[in-house]
Amino acid sequence: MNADAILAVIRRCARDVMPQLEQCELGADDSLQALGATSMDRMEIVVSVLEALALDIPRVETFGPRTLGELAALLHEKLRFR
Amino acid sequence: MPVPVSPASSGSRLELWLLDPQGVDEAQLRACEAALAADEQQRAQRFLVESARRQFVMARALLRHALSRQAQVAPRDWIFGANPFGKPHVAHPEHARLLSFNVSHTHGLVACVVAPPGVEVGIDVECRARELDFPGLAEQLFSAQERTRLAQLEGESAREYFFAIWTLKEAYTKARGTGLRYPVESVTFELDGASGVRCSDRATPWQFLRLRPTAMHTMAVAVQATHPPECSLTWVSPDGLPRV
Repeated sequence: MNADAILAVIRRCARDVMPQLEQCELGADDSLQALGATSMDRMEIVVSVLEALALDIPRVETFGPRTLGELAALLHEKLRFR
Repeated sequence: MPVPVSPASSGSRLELWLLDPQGVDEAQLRACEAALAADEQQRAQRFLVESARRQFVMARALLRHALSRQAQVAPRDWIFGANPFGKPHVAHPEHARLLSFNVSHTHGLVACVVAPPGVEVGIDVECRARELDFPGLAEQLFSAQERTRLAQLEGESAREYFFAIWTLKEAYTKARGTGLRYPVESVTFELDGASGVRCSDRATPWQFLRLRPTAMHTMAVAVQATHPPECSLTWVSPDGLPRV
């Protein structure tokens, strides 16, 4: 799975958790903060993305990325070295 | 609106301020935004979702209102900085830099707490109406003991317990200044009756408040104090928010 496909998973999970994002483009440069995600939204999105990717990594590692694209790149790296 | 608040005792005084965002109309929102600093206005413009922008503006307006009740500073004159984890603090004026505060907002409620100078404080408010993957989130953030307790509960009891523990953990980590980067699964909270809390972190003296400011919301406050803090709670009307 490449980073673009992972970004698509992140977009889908973000819209599932935050239905108000349905009409938003959700670009790779957008941050969850700018999308209005609370910490609970963020954690719910990360949990559902990790579940969809069958990836088990410490949650603290997911705090580094600031944008959706950076999160996709991080998860892509984790999948490659799994 | 009456809210059960922990009994006052000796210790530091906390000021809790609440705002119902649904009562704020467009003109009042514009007035709030005009009262923010330029960097806050720019940050507000970067939100891609209008509801998020509104909540941010109202939270900062409520914060400025609350701080100006504590110190002789006009609401517009506060300047904020942030620690490396993003926790905001007063950067100006110099004489009020040690004032401690924290802000939280969720669907239907904006909350702010102000503590005496130098007293670390954190607040979290959540709307219990939302559907969530409780076991999945608990796996990330709850201790083994808390996960076991959650698994023993069903329906509304499980929901109540989850939000009580979540808000305590978030308030605690916000008070510590790290947010959820802190390994909060290593800390266990035990609920005692309707408002009591026991925390496994005994290294630092923490006091906790559990509140239900509305029928839909669960709120927790963590404050670094040796005794239960004296506490006041004020609902702010939209007309009471700062404006220029």
